[in-house]
Amino acid sequence: MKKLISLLLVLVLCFGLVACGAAQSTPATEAAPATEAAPATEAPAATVAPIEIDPQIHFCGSSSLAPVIASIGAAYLEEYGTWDKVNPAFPAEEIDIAVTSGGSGDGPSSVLDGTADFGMLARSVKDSEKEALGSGYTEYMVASDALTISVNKKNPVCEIMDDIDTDTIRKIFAGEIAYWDEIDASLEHKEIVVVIRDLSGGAAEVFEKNVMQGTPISENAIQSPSMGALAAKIVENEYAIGYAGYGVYQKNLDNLHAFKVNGVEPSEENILNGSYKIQRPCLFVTNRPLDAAEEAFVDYIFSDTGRAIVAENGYIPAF
Amino acid sequence: MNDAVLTLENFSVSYEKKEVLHEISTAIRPNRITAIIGPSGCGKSTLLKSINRMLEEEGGVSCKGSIFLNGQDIRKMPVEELRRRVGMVFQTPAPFPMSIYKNMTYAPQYYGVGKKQELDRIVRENLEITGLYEEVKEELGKSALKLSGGQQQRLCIARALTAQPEILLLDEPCSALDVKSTQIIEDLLVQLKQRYTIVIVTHNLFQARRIADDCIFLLNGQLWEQGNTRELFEAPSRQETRDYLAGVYA
Amino acid sequence: MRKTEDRLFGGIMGIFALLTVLLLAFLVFFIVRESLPAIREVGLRELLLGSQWRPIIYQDAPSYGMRNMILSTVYVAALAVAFALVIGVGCALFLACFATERQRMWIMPYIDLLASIPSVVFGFIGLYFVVKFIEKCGRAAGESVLAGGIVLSVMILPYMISSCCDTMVKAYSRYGGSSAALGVSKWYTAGELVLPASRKGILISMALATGRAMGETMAVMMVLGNAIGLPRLLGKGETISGLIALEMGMAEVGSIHYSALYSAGCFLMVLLFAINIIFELLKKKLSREGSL
Repeated sequence: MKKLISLLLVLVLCFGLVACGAAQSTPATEAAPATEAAPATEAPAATVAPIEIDPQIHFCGSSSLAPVIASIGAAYLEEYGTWDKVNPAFPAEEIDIAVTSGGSGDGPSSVLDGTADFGMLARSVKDSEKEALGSGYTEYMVASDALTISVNKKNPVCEIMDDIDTDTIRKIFAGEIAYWDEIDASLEHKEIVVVIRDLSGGAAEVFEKNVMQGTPISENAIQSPSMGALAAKIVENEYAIGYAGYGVYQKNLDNLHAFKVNGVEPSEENILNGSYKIQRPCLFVTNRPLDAAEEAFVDYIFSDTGRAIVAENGYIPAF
Repeated sequence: MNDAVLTLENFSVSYEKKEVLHEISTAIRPNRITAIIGPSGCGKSTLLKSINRMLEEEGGVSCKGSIFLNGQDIRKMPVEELRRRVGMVFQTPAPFPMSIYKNMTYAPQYYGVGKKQELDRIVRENLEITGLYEEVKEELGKSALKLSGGQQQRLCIARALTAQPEILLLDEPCSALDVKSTQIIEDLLVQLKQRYTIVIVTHNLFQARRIADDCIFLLNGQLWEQGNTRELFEAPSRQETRDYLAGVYA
Repeated sequence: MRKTEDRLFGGIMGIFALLTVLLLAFLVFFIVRESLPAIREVGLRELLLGSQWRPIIYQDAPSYGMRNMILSTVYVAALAVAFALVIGVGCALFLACFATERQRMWIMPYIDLLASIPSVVFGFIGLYFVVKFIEKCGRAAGESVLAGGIVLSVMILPYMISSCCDTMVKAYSRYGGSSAALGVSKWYTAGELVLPASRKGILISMALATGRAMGETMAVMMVLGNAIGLPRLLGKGETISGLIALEMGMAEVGSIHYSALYSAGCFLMVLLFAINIIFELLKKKLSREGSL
């Protein structure tokens, strides 16, 4: 008898799952007649021809850009709610901006295989990627992000040194200069703890292109899973040095000290005019013409609201 | 009574509030086999376990009265010394999961015997006493768990002897064995009494009659009758003893 | 009625069991299939023994040697199991031989509770205590194989203790009386009888713990430093699972890098499988000797 009961339970569970699945799909099917009904009641006066759109816009790629796009998406949803509020010609469906965070490499590839409408990157697009995306390729430059060469504020090196040249940075990150007293004899004989992002990420590529230029990074460098973790590591460890992104550096101004690089300060101005070299573009790409909804959202990204959100996230708006 | 090895004086045991042994007074004489008999639940095993204070291992037990080992109060002795001097063999054979040799050297090594020769001698002599040596001498390194039930129990007796006890307590040592093994062990016990004092709990009256010199009959936690085995079996002085021997309580 | 009921139930459960096995087979197939391009392109030898992991840029060409990660994984896990073995067996022995039934009933739930703490919490604790402590002792960076081993050993301790304790309680209740009756002390019983009698149980718990130690990602990643060099006790290291977690998101789908990460997972799987087989063989041998 017990067995029969548990059998029944299993069956009920299965049906439950099926029912849930069905329940989830119903709004979509029910929503369709509603959209037809909406223009019917309001349209006569306005005489707007309904425009076909895909209510979901999907971004995929760089984990640096993902939170920015996600917060812009959230603001957009809050402001309009449904597409017909954006443009009366759009159907009355809910705005759905989906953001999947991965790596910069995922950006172009997800557009290519159709899993996303836009691919996000926190580095410049490789020629091979442009080629693969074909003739419909368009890129939208959102922001610039620079890598600051940061140390802990408690480190006495801050008082001795203000400026660092590319060559010294390279030697430190390659492990050729391994102790602080090798930089200046007055410093402690303590190991320099080099903190980097994982070797295959966008930041690593930018750093490679602008600083390392083929010299391998020290095998002893600590790889952090995110920019936040990288900055936290420097804040925690007095002997650490790392390439904290401009955004996280701004958030940790009390605890971090960023060097001038070759005499150029990592300021917003210097980054925008390109004189500060260790920087990367944050952009998104697509391989086809935009539909009306996508166009509306892209316009929103490049509006003042979008600009404020980009800055809020610690990036420098590129528009 | 002066030659008694073990003397119990008004010894009582209670589990929580319930009294299981009531004012037992008796004397166990050396180099004899004393059998404790009585219907199940009468307190035979409790009495046996009191003698080497194994009872203390179970929680919620309180004792009154005293037990003397050669005139010494056992409660004033270190428990380890008491147990070395009073060996015990349990109902189910429990050889340790190691080689026969290691089973035999387990206690001596604890008592500080370190020399290989000495250990070899202890193993051989004690296995010889139990008659096991001839059977296993070629495979002392074999796991003791590979022995037959009867052999295992003899190993346990031999192991108990390695601590050089004065008294050997046995708690129904044959109840898990076949007839042949039982007989071997009974013969062994009779032979052992020349060197040790033996107290055996048994529910098998024939066994008691065959091997015991003295008998103690317990009923409902009280010492009902005691004496020479033959006298007790042939002319019990109390009605209840007579009933028990006749199988009334079985 | 009873029969059809039983048969129906058995059938459905059979299908579920089959599904589980199929799922596992599919998983293995998928991992192997995804790792094939890297094995073909880079070569098994280079993947396993190569000393340089430079997936994006290394001098002229990328390099996919994961020897250091494999060594790190084994090193950290071995260290953790060694620490946990000493502490865990000691704890279990105490609980089985010295603690009363009542005390055990009180303590065991807390030990089991330790097992349910999320690994990221252990990572944080490790970062703020173990790593900091090693830095206090004079190292510039406290992230190290030692820190990983310590954090991981605490994580696998509950498994060690509860599985060892079960066996030891069994051993003690079976042999403790006979041993005590020989007049030996509890310490002697614990060390010379209960401990050797529980060898098989200890081995099983070690196998379980090793499996968990090797697969653990988050906590280890947080305190190990994730450096690609040769692991040393006080130096940094990066485990296979850490490597996968760090780079999987960044790797371009379908690239050799991506496939190499899958092959790393594949090696981890093979490593665990091999270790389990070794433990299984040892267990068989001990069973024959009558160990619990």
